[in-house]
Amino acid sequence: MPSDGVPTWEAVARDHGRFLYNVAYRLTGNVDDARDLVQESLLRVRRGLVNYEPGSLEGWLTRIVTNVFLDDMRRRKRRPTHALPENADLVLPPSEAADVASDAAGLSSEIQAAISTLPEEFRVPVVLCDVADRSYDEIAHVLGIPIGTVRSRIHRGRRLLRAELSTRGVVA
Amino acid sequence: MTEHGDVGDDDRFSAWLDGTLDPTTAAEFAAACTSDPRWARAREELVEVRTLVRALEVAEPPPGFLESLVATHEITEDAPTASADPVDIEMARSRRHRRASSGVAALAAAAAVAVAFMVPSLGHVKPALATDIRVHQAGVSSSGDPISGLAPLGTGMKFGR
Repeated sequence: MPSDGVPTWEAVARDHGRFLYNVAYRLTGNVDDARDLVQESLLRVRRGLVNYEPGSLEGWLTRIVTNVFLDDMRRRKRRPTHALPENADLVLPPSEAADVASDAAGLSSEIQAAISTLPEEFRVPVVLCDVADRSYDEIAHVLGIPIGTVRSRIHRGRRLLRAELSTRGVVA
Repeated sequence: MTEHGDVGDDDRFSAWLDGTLDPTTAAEFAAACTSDPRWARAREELVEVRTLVRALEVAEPPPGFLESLVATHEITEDAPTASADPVDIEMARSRRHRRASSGVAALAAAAAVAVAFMVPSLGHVKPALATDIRVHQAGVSSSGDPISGLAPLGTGMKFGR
């Protein structure tokens, strides 16, 4: 990292690429979309490094990967043929490749699948809080919503997640 | 504190577990969970799901994925258009192809011009060559050279007959 505290793009990709991929995978629920999300995020990192002010690098990266994810979700909604089904019962299980990747990482595919069933308005705050380890303040800033809304969405997200995990027999 | 409905619906529960409530409210929640089984059960349910998600291992990127991204970046940095983004590789490749094509076209045009200049000069050579042959034949007949006289220049020669 240079003396001015601004990392190089290569340093961000090498040192924080795993963090970005982990968040991307939890948000998207599959390997292919996670790869695309990381690639696009790193592209935005490259463009944005000139304006980056040293601080919480992972917070900044979280904001970028979240915005890229939400942009992509909005694009998919504008193209209904690629949109995710609204009904949680219609959500397809993770692909075989995703399962393999999950197993390789020691991840319970059932938990990931349950996360993927959450509507994005709840999924994103839960992932940012419990996976990216961001504070409520940061999540509010990233999503541009009041902190009270963040609190409500995290809580409802966890409740929905618990119900889904119960349905899958993961929890009692 | 919530007195009606499902106590688990109180969104301050998660905030409490995440340590974002003020100390006074947090103390109230702690007391309620100690004295009321409903609060205790709601707390346990949330703790369980929160723990499950937080305990997920880091999802590792596919082998070589990040390295390939960095390598792509370094390649584009080495190129003359150093500011090009990774996604602009195709554009850069297209530009290179256009430059190469235009170079070939320029060479072809130069060759065509050269040929155009050469063709008239060849036409100019023909009469001179014929003149030389006639001069040579005249010289042969006057000098009596037996070899040149057998086969005058410019005539077809057939062997094996």
